[in-house]
Amino acid sequence: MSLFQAFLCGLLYFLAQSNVTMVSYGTIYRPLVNGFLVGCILGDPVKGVQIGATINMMFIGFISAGGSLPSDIPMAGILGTALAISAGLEIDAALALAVPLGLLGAFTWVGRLTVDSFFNPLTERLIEKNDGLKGLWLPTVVIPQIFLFCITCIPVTIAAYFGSQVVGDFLGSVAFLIPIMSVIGGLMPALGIGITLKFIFQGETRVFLFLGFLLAAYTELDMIGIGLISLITAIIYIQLTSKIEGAE
Amino acid sequence: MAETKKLSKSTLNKCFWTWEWTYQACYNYENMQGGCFLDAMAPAIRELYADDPDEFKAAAARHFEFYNIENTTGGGVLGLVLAMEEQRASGEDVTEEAIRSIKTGLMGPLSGVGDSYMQGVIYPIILAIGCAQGVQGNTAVPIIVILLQAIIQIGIARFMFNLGYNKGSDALLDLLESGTFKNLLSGAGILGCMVLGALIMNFVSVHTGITIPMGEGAEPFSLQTGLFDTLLPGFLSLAATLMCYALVSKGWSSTKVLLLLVVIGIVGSVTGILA
Repeated sequence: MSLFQAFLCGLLYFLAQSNVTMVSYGTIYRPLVNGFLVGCILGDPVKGVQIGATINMMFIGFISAGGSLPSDIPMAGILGTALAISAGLEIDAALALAVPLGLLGAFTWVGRLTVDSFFNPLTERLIEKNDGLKGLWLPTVVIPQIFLFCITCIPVTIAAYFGSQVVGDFLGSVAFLIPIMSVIGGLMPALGIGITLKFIFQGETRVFLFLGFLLAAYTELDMIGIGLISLITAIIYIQLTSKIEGAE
Repeated sequence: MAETKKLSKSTLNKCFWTWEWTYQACYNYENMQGGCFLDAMAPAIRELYADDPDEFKAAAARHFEFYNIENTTGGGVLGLVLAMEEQRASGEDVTEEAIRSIKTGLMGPLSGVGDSYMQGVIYPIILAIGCAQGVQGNTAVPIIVILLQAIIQIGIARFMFNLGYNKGSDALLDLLESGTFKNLLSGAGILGCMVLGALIMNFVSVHTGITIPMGEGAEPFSLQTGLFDTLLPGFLSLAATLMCYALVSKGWSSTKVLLLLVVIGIVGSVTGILA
Protein backbone atom coordinates (compact mmCIF):
# COMPACT_ATOMS: atom_id res chain seq x y z
CA MET A 1 0.00 0.00 0.00
CA SER A 2 1.38 3.40 -0.92
CA LEU A 3 1.39 6.23 1.61
CA PHE A 4 -1.18 8.04 -0.51
CA GLN A 5 -3.54 5.06 -0.47
CA ALA A 6 -3.10 4.79 3.29
CA PHE A 7 -3.93 8.48 3.58
CA LEU A 8 -7.14 7.97 1.56
CA CYS A 9 -8.14 5.22 3.99
CA GLY A 10 -7.49 7.61 6.86
CA LEU A 11 -9.55 10.27 5.13
CA LEU A 12 -12.38 7.80 4.66
CA TYR A 13 -12.31 7.00 8.39
CA PHE A 14 -12.48 10.72 9.17
CA LEU A 15 -15.48 11.14 6.86
CA ALA A 16 -17.20 8.12 8.38
CA GLN A 17 -16.78 9.52 11.91
CA SER A 18 -17.52 13.15 11.07
CA ASN A 19 -21.26 12.78 10.51
CA VAL A 20 -20.97 15.17 7.59
CA THR A 21 -24.48 14.87 6.20
CA MET A 22 -26.94 12.84 8.19
CA VAL A 23 -26.77 10.22 5.45
CA SER A 24 -23.16 9.27 6.24
CA TYR A 25 -24.12 7.39 9.41
CA GLY A 26 -26.18 4.92 7.37
CA THR A 27 -23.65 4.73 4.54
CA ILE A 28 -19.89 5.35 4.81
CA TYR A 29 -20.05 4.56 8.52
CA ARG A 30 -21.03 0.98 7.57
CA PRO A 31 -18.41 -1.60 6.49
CA LEU A 32 -20.54 -2.67 3.51
CA VAL A 33 -20.02 0.79 2.02
CA ASN A 34 -16.62 1.75 3.40
CA GLY A 35 -15.19 -1.68 2.60
CA PHE A 36 -16.25 -1.13 -0.99
CA LEU A 37 -14.63 2.33 -1.02
CA VAL A 38 -11.41 0.92 0.47
CA GLY A 39 -11.53 -1.68 -2.29
CA CYS A 40 -11.77 1.13 -4.85
CA ILE A 41 -8.77 2.89 -3.24
CA LEU A 42 -6.70 -0.29 -3.34
CA GLY A 43 -7.83 -1.29 -6.82
CA ASP A 44 -9.98 -4.29 -5.88
CA PRO A 45 -13.59 -3.14 -5.39
CA VAL A 46 -15.04 -6.68 -5.67
CA LYS A 47 -12.91 -8.00 -2.82
CA GLY A 48 -13.68 -4.80 -0.93
CA VAL A 49 -17.44 -5.42 -1.08
CA GLN A 50 -17.02 -9.06 -0.10
CA ILE A 51 -14.87 -8.33 2.94
CA GLY A 52 -16.86 -5.24 3.88
CA ALA A 53 -20.16 -7.13 3.72
CA THR A 54 -18.75 -9.95 5.84
CA ILE A 55 -17.46 -7.52 8.47
CA ASN A 56 -20.73 -5.57 8.35
CA MET A 57 -22.71 -8.72 9.22
CA MET A 58 -20.97 -8.76 12.60
CA PHE A 59 -22.20 -5.26 13.32
CA ILE A 60 -25.71 -5.64 11.99
CA GLY A 61 -28.07 -3.89 14.36
CA PHE A 62 -25.30 -1.99 16.15
CA ILE A 63 -27.04 1.33 16.54
CA SER A 64 -26.52 4.43 18.57
CA ALA A 65 -29.46 5.46 20.67
CA GLY A 66 -28.98 8.85 22.26
CA GLY A 67 -25.29 9.06 21.46
CA SER A 68 -23.60 5.93 22.81
CA LEU A 69 -21.96 3.18 20.81
CA PRO A 70 -20.36 -0.06 21.93
CA SER A 71 -17.89 -0.44 19.05
CA ASP A 72 -15.84 1.32 16.47
CA ILE A 73 -17.63 0.00 13.41
CA PRO A 74 -15.89 2.06 10.69
CA MET A 75 -12.49 1.23 12.19
CA ALA A 76 -13.26 -2.48 11.78
CA GLY A 77 -14.60 -1.91 8.27
CA ILE A 78 -11.92 0.39 6.91
CA LEU A 79 -8.76 -0.88 8.57
CA GLY A 80 -9.99 -4.48 8.46
CA THR A 81 -10.64 -4.35 4.72
CA ALA A 82 -7.52 -2.32 3.94
CA LEU A 83 -5.18 -4.66 5.79
CA ALA A 84 -6.91 -7.77 4.49
CA ILE A 85 -6.68 -6.69 0.85
CA SER A 86 -3.10 -5.43 1.04
CA ALA A 87 -1.89 -8.57 2.82
CA GLY A 88 -3.96 -10.84 0.58
CA LEU A 89 -5.83 -12.41 3.50
CA GLU A 90 -8.69 -14.88 3.24
CA ILE A 91 -12.13 -13.78 4.45
CA ASP A 92 -11.94 -15.56 7.82
CA ALA A 93 -8.54 -14.08 8.57
CA ALA A 94 -9.96 -10.67 7.63
CA LEU A 95 -12.77 -11.23 10.10
CA ALA A 96 -10.30 -12.27 12.78
CA LEU A 97 -8.60 -8.93 12.20
CA ALA A 98 -11.80 -6.91 12.22
CA VAL A 99 -13.10 -8.30 15.52
CA PRO A 100 -10.40 -6.77 17.74
CA LEU A 101 -10.39 -3.58 15.65
CA GLY A 102 -14.09 -3.16 16.35
CA LEU A 103 -13.58 -4.05 19.99
CA LEU A 104 -11.03 -1.27 20.36
CA GLY A 105 -14.24 0.40 21.26
CA ALA A 106 -15.56 3.83 21.01
CA PHE A 107 -12.38 5.73 21.85
CA THR A 108 -12.78 8.13 18.96
CA TRP A 109 -16.42 8.64 19.82
CA VAL A 110 -15.87 9.34 23.51
CA GLY A 111 -12.78 11.47 22.91
CA ARG A 112 -14.61 13.58 20.44
CA LEU A 113 -17.74 14.12 22.53
CA THR A 114 -15.51 15.13 25.44
CA VAL A 115 -13.18 17.50 23.61
CA ASP A 116 -15.92 19.12 21.50
CA SER A 117 -17.34 20.53 24.74
CA PHE A 118 -14.29 22.79 24.97
CA PHE A 119 -15.30 24.60 21.77
CA ASN A 120 -18.61 25.73 23.25
CA PRO A 121 -17.15 28.76 25.09
CA LEU A 122 -16.04 30.11 21.69
CA THR A 123 -19.64 29.98 20.51
CA GLU A 124 -20.79 31.60 23.76
CA ARG A 125 -18.37 34.44 23.16
CA LEU A 126 -19.84 34.99 19.69
CA ILE A 127 -23.33 35.15 21.18
CA GLU A 128 -22.11 37.64 23.81
CA LYS A 129 -20.44 39.78 21.17
CA ASN A 130 -23.79 39.94 19.34
CA ASP A 131 -22.22 40.87 16.05
CA GLY A 132 -24.49 38.95 13.67
CA LEU A 133 -22.95 35.61 14.76
CA LYS A 134 -20.16 36.19 12.30
CA GLY A 135 -17.87 33.21 11.98
CA LEU A 136 -20.25 30.90 13.86
CA TRP A 137 -19.24 28.00 11.67
CA LEU A 138 -15.68 28.12 13.00
CA PRO A 139 -16.46 26.83 16.53
CA THR A 140 -19.47 24.74 15.49
CA VAL A 141 -18.06 23.06 12.39
CA VAL A 142 -14.50 23.86 11.33
CA ILE A 143 -12.53 23.63 14.58
CA PRO A 144 -14.24 20.46 15.90
CA GLN A 145 -13.81 18.85 12.50
CA ILE A 146 -10.10 19.76 12.37
CA PHE A 147 -9.71 18.19 15.80
CA LEU A 148 -11.62 15.12 14.63
CA PHE A 149 -9.41 14.92 11.55
CA CYS A 150 -6.32 14.82 13.76
CA ILE A 151 -7.60 11.98 15.95
CA THR A 152 -9.03 9.93 13.07
CA CYS A 153 -7.20 10.42 9.79
CA ILE A 154 -3.65 10.49 11.15
CA PRO A 155 -3.71 7.28 13.26
CA VAL A 156 -5.57 5.28 10.63
CA THR A 157 -3.20 6.45 7.90
CA ILE A 158 -0.24 5.31 9.98
CA ALA A 159 -1.92 2.03 10.97
CA ALA A 160 -2.88 1.24 7.37
CA TYR A 161 0.56 2.11 6.00
CA PHE A 162 2.71 0.24 8.50
CA GLY A 163 0.10 -2.38 9.35
CA SER A 164 -0.09 -3.60 5.78
CA GLN A 165 3.62 -4.47 5.90
CA VAL A 166 3.45 -6.56 9.04
CA VAL A 167 -0.11 -7.91 9.28
CA GLY A 168 0.60 -11.06 7.28
CA ASP A 169 3.53 -12.11 9.49
CA PHE A 170 1.71 -11.04 12.61
CA LEU A 171 -1.38 -13.13 11.85
CA GLY A 172 0.90 -16.02 11.00
CA SER A 173 2.41 -15.92 14.47
CA VAL A 174 -0.94 -15.72 16.24
CA ALA A 175 -2.79 -18.16 13.99
CA PHE A 176 -4.27 -19.93 17.02
CA LEU A 177 -6.34 -16.79 17.67
CA ILE A 178 -8.16 -16.98 14.34
CA PRO A 179 -10.72 -19.66 15.36
CA ILE A 180 -11.40 -17.81 18.62
CA MET A 181 -12.00 -14.59 16.73
CA SER A 182 -14.30 -16.34 14.32
CA VAL A 183 -16.40 -17.71 17.21
CA ILE A 184 -16.63 -14.20 18.71
CA GLY A 185 -17.43 -12.78 15.27
CA GLY A 186 -20.24 -15.28 14.91
CA LEU A 187 -21.70 -14.29 18.29
CA MET A 188 -21.57 -10.53 17.74
CA PRO A 189 -24.63 -10.18 15.49
CA ALA A 190 -26.64 -11.69 18.36
CA LEU A 191 -25.87 -8.55 20.36
CA GLY A 192 -26.69 -6.16 17.50
CA ILE A 193 -29.99 -7.92 16.82
CA GLY A 194 -30.69 -7.97 20.57
CA ILE A 195 -30.13 -4.20 20.81
CA THR A 196 -32.44 -3.57 17.87
CA LEU A 197 -35.08 -5.91 19.28
CA LYS A 198 -35.20 -3.77 22.40
CA PHE A 199 -36.83 -1.10 20.23
CA ILE A 200 -39.27 -3.11 18.15
CA PHE A 201 -39.85 -6.48 19.86
CA GLN A 202 -43.09 -5.56 21.59
CA GLY A 203 -46.68 -6.67 21.95
CA GLU A 204 -48.35 -8.45 19.09
CA THR A 205 -45.39 -8.09 16.74
CA ARG A 206 -43.25 -10.48 18.82
CA VAL A 207 -44.50 -13.63 17.14
CA PHE A 208 -43.29 -12.38 13.76
CA LEU A 209 -39.69 -12.65 14.91
CA PHE A 210 -40.14 -16.40 15.09
CA LEU A 211 -41.96 -16.51 11.78
CA GLY A 212 -38.99 -14.80 10.11
CA PHE A 213 -36.58 -17.10 11.89
CA LEU A 214 -38.44 -20.24 10.81
CA LEU A 215 -38.72 -19.03 7.21
CA ALA A 216 -34.97 -18.63 7.10
CA ALA A 217 -34.32 -21.90 8.96
CA TYR A 218 -36.57 -24.18 6.91
CA THR A 219 -36.65 -22.62 3.42
CA GLU A 220 -34.04 -21.69 0.88
CA LEU A 221 -35.36 -18.12 0.52
CA ASP A 222 -32.71 -15.38 0.33
CA MET A 223 -32.88 -12.06 2.21
CA ILE A 224 -34.67 -10.22 -0.58
CA GLY A 225 -37.35 -12.89 -0.73
CA ILE A 226 -37.81 -12.89 3.04
CA GLY A 227 -37.87 -9.09 3.07
CA LEU A 228 -40.67 -8.98 0.51
CA ILE A 229 -42.69 -11.71 2.24
CA SER A 230 -42.27 -9.78 5.50
CA LEU A 231 -43.57 -6.64 3.83
CA ILE A 232 -46.68 -8.42 2.52
CA THR A 233 -47.23 -10.06 5.92
CA ALA A 234 -47.12 -6.66 7.60
CA ILE A 235 -49.64 -5.25 5.11
CA ILE A 236 -52.03 -8.19 5.55
CA TYR A 237 -51.82 -7.88 9.33
CA ILE A 238 -52.58 -4.14 9.24
CA GLN A 239 -55.48 -4.65 6.84
CA LEU A 240 -57.01 -7.34 9.03
CA THR A 241 -56.57 -5.48 12.32
CA SER A 242 -57.97 -2.22 10.95
CA LYS A 243 -61.01 -4.14 9.63
CA ILE A 244 -61.61 -5.64 13.06
CA GLU A 245 -61.25 -2.25 14.72
CA GLY A 246 -63.65 -0.76 12.15
CA ALA A 247 -66.25 -3.45 12.83
CA GLU A 248 -66.21 -2.90 16.59
CA MET B 1 -46.09 46.31 16.62
CA ALA B 2 -44.05 45.27 13.64
CA GLU B 3 -45.14 44.07 10.22
CA THR B 4 -45.61 40.37 9.56
CA LYS B 5 -42.24 38.77 8.93
CA LYS B 6 -41.89 35.78 6.63
CA LEU B 7 -38.63 33.95 6.10
CA SER B 8 -37.58 33.78 2.48
CA LYS B 9 -37.55 30.43 0.78
CA SER B 10 -33.79 30.52 0.35
CA THR B 11 -33.27 31.13 4.08
CA LEU B 12 -35.51 28.18 4.93
CA ASN B 13 -33.54 26.00 2.57
CA LYS B 14 -30.28 27.25 4.03
CA CYS B 15 -31.46 26.29 7.52
CA PHE B 16 -32.60 22.85 6.38
CA TRP B 17 -29.42 22.03 4.51
CA THR B 18 -27.13 23.33 7.24
CA TRP B 19 -28.91 20.95 9.60
CA GLU B 20 -28.66 18.14 7.07
CA TRP B 21 -24.93 18.64 6.49
CA THR B 22 -23.54 19.49 9.89
CA TYR B 23 -26.15 18.55 12.50
CA GLN B 24 -23.53 16.63 14.46
CA ALA B 25 -20.31 18.41 13.48
CA CYS B 26 -19.63 19.55 17.06
CA TYR B 27 -21.26 16.68 18.93
CA ASN B 28 -20.34 17.05 22.61
CA TYR B 29 -21.31 15.91 26.08
CA GLU B 30 -22.12 19.42 27.29
CA ASN B 31 -24.97 20.37 24.98
CA MET B 32 -24.87 17.54 22.38
CA GLN B 33 -26.12 19.13 19.13
CA GLY B 34 -26.67 22.58 20.68
CA GLY B 35 -24.04 24.44 18.69
CA CYS B 36 -25.06 22.81 15.45
CA PHE B 37 -28.72 23.60 16.03
CA LEU B 38 -27.77 27.25 16.53
CA ASP B 39 -25.73 27.02 13.34
CA ALA B 40 -28.80 25.76 11.46
CA MET B 41 -30.97 28.51 12.99
CA ALA B 42 -28.45 31.29 12.34
CA PRO B 43 -29.62 32.27 8.81
CA ALA B 44 -33.17 32.73 10.12
CA ILE B 45 -32.06 34.64 13.22
CA ARG B 46 -30.04 36.99 11.03
CA GLU B 47 -33.03 37.63 8.78
CA LEU B 48 -35.69 37.99 11.49
CA TYR B 49 -33.85 40.01 14.11
CA ALA B 50 -31.47 42.07 11.97
CA ASP B 51 -32.73 45.38 13.40
CA ASP B 52 -33.21 44.28 17.01
CA PRO B 53 -29.88 43.49 18.71
CA ASP B 54 -31.45 42.46 22.01
CA GLU B 55 -33.81 39.96 20.43
CA PHE B 56 -30.97 38.77 18.20
CA LYS B 57 -28.81 37.94 21.17
CA ALA B 58 -31.66 36.29 23.05
CA ALA B 59 -32.56 34.16 20.03
CA ALA B 60 -28.95 33.06 19.58
CA ALA B 61 -28.70 32.17 23.25
CA ARG B 62 -31.94 30.17 23.38
CA HIS B 63 -30.90 27.99 20.46
CA PHE B 64 -27.48 27.29 21.93
CA GLU B 65 -28.87 25.03 24.59
CA PHE B 66 -28.83 21.30 25.19
CA TYR B 67 -30.34 19.64 22.18
CA ASN B 68 -30.21 16.03 21.03
CA ILE B 69 -32.56 14.57 18.50
CA GLU B 70 -32.71 11.85 15.89
CA ASN B 71 -31.72 13.58 12.69
CA THR B 72 -34.59 12.77 10.30
CA THR B 73 -37.56 13.33 12.60
CA GLY B 74 -35.57 16.27 13.99
CA GLY B 75 -36.27 18.08 10.73
CA GLY B 76 -39.80 18.56 12.05
CA VAL B 77 -38.68 20.46 15.14
CA LEU B 78 -36.40 22.68 13.07
CA GLY B 79 -39.30 23.61 10.76
CA LEU B 80 -41.61 24.20 13.69
CA VAL B 81 -39.15 26.37 15.60
CA LEU B 82 -38.52 28.45 12.47
CA ALA B 83 -42.26 29.09 12.17
CA MET B 84 -42.43 30.08 15.86
CA GLU B 85 -39.50 32.46 15.54
CA GLU B 86 -41.24 34.02 12.54
CA GLN B 87 -44.36 34.63 14.60
CA ARG B 88 -42.37 36.00 17.51
CA ALA B 89 -40.50 38.39 15.24
CA SER B 90 -43.85 39.54 13.81
CA GLY B 91 -44.92 40.59 17.30
CA GLU B 92 -47.22 37.68 18.00
CA ASP B 93 -47.50 36.30 21.50
CA VAL B 94 -44.90 33.53 21.31
CA THR B 95 -42.83 33.46 24.46
CA GLU B 96 -39.24 32.26 24.80
CA GLU B 97 -40.57 29.65 27.18
CA ALA B 98 -42.94 28.31 24.52
CA ILE B 99 -40.13 27.90 22.01
CA ARG B 100 -37.90 26.28 24.58
CA SER B 101 -40.55 23.85 25.78
CA ILE B 102 -41.46 22.83 22.22
CA LYS B 103 -37.83 21.93 21.61
CA THR B 104 -37.37 19.97 24.81
CA GLY B 105 -40.87 18.50 24.68
CA LEU B 106 -40.62 17.10 21.16
CA MET B 107 -37.01 15.96 21.45
CA GLY B 108 -37.89 12.79 23.36
CA PRO B 109 -40.94 11.47 21.50
CA LEU B 110 -39.59 12.28 18.03
CA SER B 111 -36.19 10.75 18.79
CA GLY B 112 -37.92 7.68 20.19
CA VAL B 113 -39.87 7.15 17.00
CA GLY B 114 -36.87 8.06 14.85
CA ASP B 115 -34.37 5.82 16.66
CA SER B 116 -36.76 2.88 16.74
CA TYR B 117 -37.85 2.97 13.14
CA MET B 118 -34.94 4.54 11.26
CA GLN B 119 -32.16 2.74 13.10
CA GLY B 120 -34.28 -0.19 14.24
CA VAL B 121 -36.04 -1.09 11.01
CA ILE B 122 -34.87 0.82 7.94
CA TYR B 123 -31.09 0.68 8.51
CA PRO B 124 -30.92 -3.03 9.41
CA ILE B 125 -33.17 -4.08 6.54
CA ILE B 126 -31.27 -2.11 3.90
CA LEU B 127 -27.88 -3.16 5.30
CA ALA B 128 -28.86 -6.79 5.88
CA ILE B 129 -30.10 -7.28 2.35
CA GLY B 130 -27.08 -5.32 1.15
CA CYS B 131 -24.66 -7.56 3.07
CA ALA B 132 -26.36 -10.75 1.91
CA GLN B 133 -25.90 -9.61 -1.69
CA GLY B 134 -22.54 -7.95 -1.07
CA VAL B 135 -20.71 -11.08 0.08
CA GLN B 136 -21.08 -12.32 -3.47
CA GLY B 137 -19.01 -9.35 -4.61
CA ASN B 138 -21.65 -7.30 -6.37
CA THR B 139 -20.22 -3.76 -6.51
CA ALA B 140 -23.58 -2.21 -7.41
CA VAL B 141 -24.86 -3.07 -3.91
CA PRO B 142 -23.03 -0.38 -1.88
CA ILE B 143 -24.00 2.25 -4.43
CA ILE B 144 -27.67 1.26 -4.21
CA VAL B 145 -27.41 1.33 -0.40
CA ILE B 146 -26.04 4.88 -0.51
CA LEU B 147 -28.82 6.05 -2.86
CA LEU B 148 -31.58 4.36 -0.87
CA GLN B 149 -30.37 5.78 2.44
CA ALA B 150 -30.01 9.27 0.98
CA ILE B 151 -33.46 9.28 -0.62
CA ILE B 152 -35.22 7.85 2.42
CA GLN B 153 -33.47 9.98 5.04
CA ILE B 154 -33.48 13.31 3.25
CA GLY B 155 -37.04 12.60 2.10
CA ILE B 156 -38.32 11.97 5.62
CA ALA B 157 -36.35 14.89 7.07
CA ARG B 158 -37.73 17.26 4.43
CA PHE B 159 -41.27 15.95 4.87
CA MET B 160 -41.06 16.50 8.63
CA PHE B 161 -39.46 19.93 8.13
CA ASN B 162 -42.28 21.09 5.84
CA LEU B 163 -44.91 19.62 8.13
CA GLY B 164 -43.46 21.38 11.18
CA TYR B 165 -43.03 24.69 9.39
CA ASN B 166 -46.39 24.78 7.61
CA LYS B 167 -48.70 23.01 10.04
CA GLY B 168 -47.17 23.61 13.46
CA SER B 169 -46.83 21.58 16.62
CA ASP B 170 -50.40 20.24 16.57
CA ALA B 171 -49.70 18.65 13.20
CA LEU B 172 -46.54 16.96 14.51
CA LEU B 173 -48.34 15.64 17.57
CA ASP B 174 -51.42 14.67 15.55
CA LEU B 175 -49.15 12.79 13.18
CA LEU B 176 -47.75 10.79 16.09
CA GLU B 177 -51.29 10.09 17.32
CA SER B 178 -52.99 9.40 14.00
CA GLY B 179 -54.29 5.95 13.11
CA THR B 180 -52.48 5.81 9.78
CA PHE B 181 -49.18 6.59 11.45
CA LYS B 182 -49.77 4.01 14.16
CA ASN B 183 -50.56 1.43 11.50
CA LEU B 184 -47.40 2.42 9.66
CA LEU B 185 -45.34 1.96 12.82
CA SER B 186 -46.85 -1.38 13.75
CA GLY B 187 -46.38 -2.52 10.16
CA ALA B 188 -42.76 -1.42 10.34
CA GLY B 189 -42.44 -3.30 13.63
CA ILE B 190 -43.73 -6.51 12.03
CA LEU B 191 -41.49 -6.08 9.01
CA GLY B 192 -38.53 -5.38 11.27
CA CYS B 193 -39.19 -8.33 13.57
CA MET B 194 -39.55 -10.77 10.69
CA VAL B 195 -36.38 -9.62 8.96
CA LEU B 196 -34.47 -9.69 12.24
CA GLY B 197 -35.77 -13.21 12.82
CA ALA B 198 -34.33 -14.24 9.47
CA LEU B 199 -31.08 -12.47 10.32
CA ILE B 200 -30.71 -14.54 13.48
CA MET B 201 -30.66 -17.61 11.27
CA ASN B 202 -28.49 -16.17 8.53
CA PHE B 203 -26.01 -13.88 10.31
CA VAL B 204 -25.56 -15.18 13.85
CA SER B 205 -23.34 -18.22 13.81
CA VAL B 206 -23.04 -20.33 16.93
CA HIS B 207 -21.95 -23.94 16.57
CA THR B 208 -21.12 -26.40 19.26
CA GLY B 209 -18.14 -28.68 18.93
CA ILE B 210 -19.38 -31.13 21.57
CA THR B 211 -19.28 -34.76 20.52
CA ILE B 212 -20.41 -37.77 22.49
CA PRO B 213 -18.26 -40.89 22.11
CA MET B 214 -20.35 -43.85 20.96
CA GLY B 215 -18.00 -46.60 21.98
CA GLU B 216 -15.26 -48.52 20.17
CA GLY B 217 -15.10 -48.05 16.43
CA ALA B 218 -18.36 -46.15 16.21
CA GLU B 219 -18.50 -42.60 14.83
CA PRO B 220 -18.83 -40.14 17.75
CA PHE B 221 -22.18 -38.40 17.93
CA SER B 222 -21.84 -34.69 17.09
CA LEU B 223 -24.35 -32.57 18.91
CA GLN B 224 -24.22 -29.96 16.14
CA THR B 225 -24.74 -32.10 13.04
CA GLY B 226 -26.66 -34.89 14.74
CA LEU B 227 -29.08 -32.83 16.79
CA PHE B 228 -29.19 -29.11 16.04
CA ASP B 229 -28.65 -29.13 12.27
CA THR B 230 -31.21 -31.85 11.65
CA LEU B 231 -33.88 -31.14 14.27
CA LEU B 232 -33.46 -27.55 15.45
CA PRO B 233 -31.50 -25.57 12.87
CA GLY B 234 -30.29 -22.24 14.24
CA PHE B 235 -31.42 -23.04 17.77
CA LEU B 236 -28.17 -21.92 19.37
CA SER B 237 -28.20 -18.67 17.37
CA LEU B 238 -31.74 -17.95 18.51
CA ALA B 239 -30.82 -18.72 22.11
CA ALA B 240 -27.76 -16.44 21.96
CA THR B 241 -29.79 -13.59 20.48
CA LEU B 242 -32.61 -13.87 22.99
CA MET B 243 -30.02 -13.94 25.77
CA CYS B 244 -28.49 -10.68 24.50
CA TYR B 245 -31.95 -9.17 24.15
CA ALA B 246 -32.86 -10.16 27.71
CA LEU B 247 -29.62 -8.72 29.12
CA VAL B 248 -29.96 -5.45 27.19
CA SER B 249 -33.60 -5.14 28.28
CA LYS B 250 -32.56 -5.78 31.86
CA GLY B 251 -30.41 -2.67 31.64
CA TRP B 252 -26.99 -4.13 30.87
CA SER B 253 -24.96 -1.72 28.75
CA SER B 254 -24.18 -3.00 25.29
CA THR B 255 -20.47 -2.78 26.09
CA LYS B 256 -20.94 -5.12 29.03
CA VAL B 257 -22.82 -7.65 26.89
CA LEU B 258 -20.12 -7.38 24.27
CA LEU B 259 -17.46 -8.21 26.85
CA LEU B 260 -19.54 -11.18 27.99
CA LEU B 261 -19.69 -12.43 24.39
CA VAL B 262 -15.92 -12.09 24.10
CA VAL B 263 -15.46 -14.15 27.25
CA ILE B 264 -17.97 -16.78 26.08
CA GLY B 265 -16.22 -16.86 22.71
CA ILE B 266 -12.76 -17.37 24.22
CA VAL B 267 -13.82 -19.92 26.83
CA GLY B 268 -16.13 -21.75 24.42
CA SER B 269 -13.52 -21.89 21.71
CA VAL B 270 -10.66 -23.01 23.96
CA THR B 271 -12.73 -25.75 25.61
CA GLY B 272 -14.22 -26.86 22.31
CA ILE B 273 -17.81 -26.28 23.45
CA LEU B 274 -18.14 -23.74 20.65
CA ALA B 275 -16.57 -24.22 17.25
